[in-house]
Amino acid sequence: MWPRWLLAGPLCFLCAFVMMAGASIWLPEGPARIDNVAIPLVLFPAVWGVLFFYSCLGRLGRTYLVVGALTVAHLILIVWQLMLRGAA
Amino acid sequence: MSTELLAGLAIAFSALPLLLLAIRDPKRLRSRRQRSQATVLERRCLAIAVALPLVFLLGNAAAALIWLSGVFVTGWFCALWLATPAHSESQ
Amino acid sequence: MIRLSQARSKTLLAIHGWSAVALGLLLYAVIVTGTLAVFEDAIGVWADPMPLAPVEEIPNGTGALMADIAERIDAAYLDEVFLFSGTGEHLRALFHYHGDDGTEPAMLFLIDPAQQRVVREVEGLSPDVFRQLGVGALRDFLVDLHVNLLLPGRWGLLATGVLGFAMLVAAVSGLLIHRHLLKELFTLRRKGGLLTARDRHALAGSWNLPFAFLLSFTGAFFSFGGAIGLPAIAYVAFGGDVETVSEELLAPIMAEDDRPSPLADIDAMIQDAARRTGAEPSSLQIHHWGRADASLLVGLNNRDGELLPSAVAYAGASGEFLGLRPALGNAPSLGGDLVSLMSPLHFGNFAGIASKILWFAMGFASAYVALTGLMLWTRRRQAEPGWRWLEKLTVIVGYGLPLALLINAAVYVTRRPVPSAAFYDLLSVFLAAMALTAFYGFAQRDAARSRRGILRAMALVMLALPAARYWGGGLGWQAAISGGLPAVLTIDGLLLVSGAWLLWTQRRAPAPAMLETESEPEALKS
Repeated sequence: MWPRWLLAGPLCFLCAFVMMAGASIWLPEGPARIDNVAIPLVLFPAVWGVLFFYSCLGRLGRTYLVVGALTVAHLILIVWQLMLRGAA
Repeated sequence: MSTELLAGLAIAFSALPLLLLAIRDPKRLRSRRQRSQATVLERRCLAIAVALPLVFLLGNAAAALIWLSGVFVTGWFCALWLATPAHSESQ
Repeated sequence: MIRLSQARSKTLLAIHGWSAVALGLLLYAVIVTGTLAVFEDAIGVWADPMPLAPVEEIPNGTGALMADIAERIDAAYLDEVFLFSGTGEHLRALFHYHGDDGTEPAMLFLIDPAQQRVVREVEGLSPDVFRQLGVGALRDFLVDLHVNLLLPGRWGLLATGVLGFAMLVAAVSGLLIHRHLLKELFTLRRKGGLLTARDRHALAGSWNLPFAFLLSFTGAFFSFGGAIGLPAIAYVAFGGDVETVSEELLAPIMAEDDRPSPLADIDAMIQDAARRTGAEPSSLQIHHWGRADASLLVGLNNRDGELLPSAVAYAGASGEFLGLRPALGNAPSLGGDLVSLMSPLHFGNFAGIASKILWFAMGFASAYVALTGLMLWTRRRQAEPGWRWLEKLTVIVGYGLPLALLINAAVYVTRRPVPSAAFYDLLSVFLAAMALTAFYGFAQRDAARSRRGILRAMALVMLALPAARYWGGGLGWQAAISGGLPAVLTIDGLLLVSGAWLLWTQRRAPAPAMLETESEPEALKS
């Protein structure tokens, strides 16, 4: 029971949060140079909602894998971006 | 025509088929031990009639939003009104 | 409507129910205050009327008044200046800058645009200055309770963000578990007991579903966007510089030039913006006032039929027209439009009184769904004494919250002139009223008795409020009408009618039995 709670609760929120922050790196800026800021902000509740219901209803192992992979992938992007900025 | 007037007319247009849908609703009538004579075709036509104003509101997003929320509120009120004791024909 | 396995239905039902038990009452508080806040302008006019209503939101001469203010205050505050609507038809001018320590020193001015004068001014840190203004505290308290649940700093936004998620979960899970949503759209069985309670909740929830989804989504965006979203993205994409992100989103692009240069005629720029667009100016943003790279952005209300507001940009020093632009960003963009769409969809202020009335109705329905859901939960478990506390608490919050807000209003309108600490006084009054209601509610034998008592108290306060407002120094009805302030009369009238109706229904109705003995249909057994 508790692994499901953990996944649907804090882990799912963390994943959505990291995806929102990381998406600002890979999303195009758009004509006003704000799309990569605005779109992740707007879609954050939707991303969390999808992850939450997937975490509640999906097969536990596979869901952990998917959520974990999304989190790690975006974390890597963020760390890479911060390292690039530090070097510059 | 102003947005409010346009939306108001659209809500008024949708209100009648909505009320008819409510009055002849099979589940509602069954709960009062009455038979519904509404066919599926009739109900679908009425539903289309409710949604019809949207076609004319596509160029006016504000009016479309007001119409949509007005339809929801009207539908809810129809259901509540028809459930009052004065409309209850059998207990 | 949507076929799900029994296991999944059970899981979703548990999510739907337990999320409501854990967060339902707090969510109800946010919904009720949000519903009332749809009419925050009217409430502001009622509580803090000006002698005369202005003809326009930003009348001619307001720019000159702001220039006078700028002459006499510390030049540091001229870095960022915002002019926006305040309580009722007042305007607020916020002069501030971003300190190196992350604080925002500010001066806030409350302006009567009809009489072109400063009503109040406060110096301190933003956003605390808003709570120190005094005038407008009733409206500010309502909005603060809705946005922050009165919690400090980011905690309030995080809390309301979580509640937005809870509402989203309730809406989606409710949709998925309601197997006969379309078939039961007009069904409300009046046999009493659990069946009627379930139908009431499901009926209101079904019709309100799209709105619930919309409000929870946009509400969560506003809360989380401000609290954690923007800072996180600023950290990743802009090295933590939230100010740069904000400027990227809001300010016109100007080449940096810090040479001193006076600002051009603000009134002329405002009038030019109105003439070019045919829309009504509603706000101002001025960046780097007093510098050659100053910029001025005139925010415009959405035009009739449109949802999105827009803006007109000017070079501040020369008054040169820089172009039309969306409310967000320097050029039309998908991201800018999406963010700009959140406001009209959440606040329902895109089409005057019509949209506000409907948003109020849908907000009322959302509050009704939340309350009936909790009542249904406790009714189903009435045989279990362990849940009696929730039944009583639901009544205390469900009916006690509106009562406390009414008491707040009564206290506010009887104190003239409004003290600068009015916000904190209202906080104390609100907490005391809720505590007293809780004491009364838990002391009663059953929830039905406390419900009746609280409703009667609400009725009496409603009936007394118009008189209290008048005797506290408020405008009479004739003065309000001749001053172009119909909101005063309207709200007084609504209070009297609602109070009389409540009193009549509570005198007439016998105490409803909360525990009804009848056999439940199998489908309702949990």
